[in-house]
Amino acid sequence: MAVRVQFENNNDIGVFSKLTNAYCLVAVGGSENFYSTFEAELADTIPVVHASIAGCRIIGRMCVGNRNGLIMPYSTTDQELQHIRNCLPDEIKIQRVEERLSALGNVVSCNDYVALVHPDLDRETEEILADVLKVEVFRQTVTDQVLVGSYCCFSNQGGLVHPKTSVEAQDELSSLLQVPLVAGTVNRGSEVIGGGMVVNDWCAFCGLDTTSTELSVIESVFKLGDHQNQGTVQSKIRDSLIDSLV
Amino acid sequence: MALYRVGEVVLSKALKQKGSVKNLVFASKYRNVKELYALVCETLKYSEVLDEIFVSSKFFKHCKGLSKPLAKLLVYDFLFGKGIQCSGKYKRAVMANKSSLQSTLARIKMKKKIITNAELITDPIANVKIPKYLRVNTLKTTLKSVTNCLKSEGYNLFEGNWKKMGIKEFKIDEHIDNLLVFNDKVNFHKHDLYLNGHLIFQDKASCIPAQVLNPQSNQTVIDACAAPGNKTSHLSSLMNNTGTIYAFDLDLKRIRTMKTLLDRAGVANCEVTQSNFLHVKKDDLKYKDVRYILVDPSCSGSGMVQRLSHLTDNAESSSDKRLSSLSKFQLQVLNHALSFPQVERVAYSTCSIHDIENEDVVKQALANNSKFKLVKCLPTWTRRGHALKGFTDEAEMCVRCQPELDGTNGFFIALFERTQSSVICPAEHVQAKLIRPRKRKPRKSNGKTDSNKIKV
Repeated sequence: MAVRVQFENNNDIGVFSKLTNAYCLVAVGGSENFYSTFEAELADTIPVVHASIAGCRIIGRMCVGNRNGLIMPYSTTDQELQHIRNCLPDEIKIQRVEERLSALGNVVSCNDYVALVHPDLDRETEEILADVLKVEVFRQTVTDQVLVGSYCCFSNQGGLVHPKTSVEAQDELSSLLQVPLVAGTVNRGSEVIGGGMVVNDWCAFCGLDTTSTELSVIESVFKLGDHQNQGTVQSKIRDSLIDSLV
Repeated sequence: MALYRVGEVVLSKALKQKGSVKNLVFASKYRNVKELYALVCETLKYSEVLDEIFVSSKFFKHCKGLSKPLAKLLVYDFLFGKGIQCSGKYKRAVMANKSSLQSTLARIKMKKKIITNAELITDPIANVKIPKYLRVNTLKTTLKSVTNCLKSEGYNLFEGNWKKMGIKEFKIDEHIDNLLVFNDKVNFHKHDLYLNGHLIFQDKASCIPAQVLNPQSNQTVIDACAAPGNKTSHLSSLMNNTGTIYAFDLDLKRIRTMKTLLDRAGVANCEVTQSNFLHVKKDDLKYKDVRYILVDPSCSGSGMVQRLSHLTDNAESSSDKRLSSLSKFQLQVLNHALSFPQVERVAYSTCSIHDIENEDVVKQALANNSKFKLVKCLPTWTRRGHALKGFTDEAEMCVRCQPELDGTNGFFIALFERTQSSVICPAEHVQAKLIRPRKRKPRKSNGKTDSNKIKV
């Protein structure tokens, strides 16, 4: 299921939230609308947590995580870290890293198995990513953009990349990630995919401006909602029809 | 830790051509020889890939203080093997780079469009698995009693391609008599049948020379470059331990091993001498009855699958210079063998895959010795010698073995026979032939008392 949502009149919701298969972080804001949209979709399954990082609301660009762990920049205060630690399940490892490129969300993009990282990321951070998130780490660019976290977004099911990604580059990325990829946009033509949406294996959120075409592309490539079951449903109907005829 | 430190020494020596991997491993005196040998061999197999990984992950830039051979062993074990089997600084050094090593490997696999690690080994021979061959020593037992014994231990007789053979199965080879084929993982080193000499480890290819030479009972045979003596004991069993085999080799250490092996095999008709076959006088009365000579001279060993020499090979070891000097020596030995006055059949073999050591040598030997022709050995065998200019029909007579196709080591065999017309039988030769059975007995008893000879 893909949902349209806005954060205080801003469509770049990937900046203000972080969604994984095990938890969801949302920025603290003036109104609770943003938070409640997430809660309505997710609260049954995973914790949805209000958070700030280094006093900022742009948490989606500051941290990176998956169902195994969460990596925070060094500027995160102890209090913020403690709050997140208290709210997330115990099996999720949380680690602060000393990294020059402190907007981790912009320089790292990952699912539960693979991470693409900025080519200049510190080697120690790379090892920590591999250990905490239990991923294979690849230094990679997306259409010559070093900010892989901003220009692509992928789950364990599929991924959406910068619209100008060539077919060859898509092939390479897709064989690194082992998931199908599509080049596309969100928020009525925005190429900042990572900034414009968040996704996990069963749910996606994107900005209010996202067109229905964009939404259907997202639903099909991330295998969300009805798209994945269409085939099986049809065959079930056909089977029961045949059964009743016989 | 010790494993990697010893491995480093072995690997760097092997890469510098200071000995074969097997010898270096045994010389290292490391307690767990099997473990060390496996580690070094497997690392060598992946050597090219490891080099590629080091370059693209800039390993040595980030990880100083590890020598290249050591790094290779560690990274092999980390990426392809059982994981690093030590703690301390070696483990730390590799672990500090683990994600970059892993992602580089994944990228290389992706680039080559392959899935498993085994597919990374591009060297065709390195990936070749050849079955284990065990020859039944007919001096001590018979094929039937060995197969019965094996069956009673739960081994099943197998028909069909050896590649599909299970670990508890064996088959009887279709080309060589008394040869059993086993799965390559089978371990017979501690088996009673092996320890008491009923079964002998011998590659199928190296059984061919003695089989095609086929010396009859009560004949006199020379094994020109005999050590380590498996072919010699094969000859002896073909001759039913009768007649005499004169075996020569240069290396005393190898002769000692050979004596143990011959002892175990129960060979009693063999006289081993430490000498160069080229210095053996052909007109010595002792050798005037020699009818068969087996020539298996030193060669580059390029066909040996287990030796892994192709992996440590550099430009020098397979250089034309080395090969041509080997080839010169081989021709000398072969010419010398063909010059014996009464010799009728000479089998020439090498475990090399280079033409210059095989067909070239045979071609020149034929040119030098007009009284000999080649005989087609193993008529049912399909893989034949390489045709050279002026050596096309003759090439059809020779046999070649190719590891990946025949499941043996790479090998070459040619069988020379004196042409009918050239068997000049001067009166004394005929006489010598006629009275030979009478002369044999006293000579044999003389041999026992002769202190210069090493009688086995």
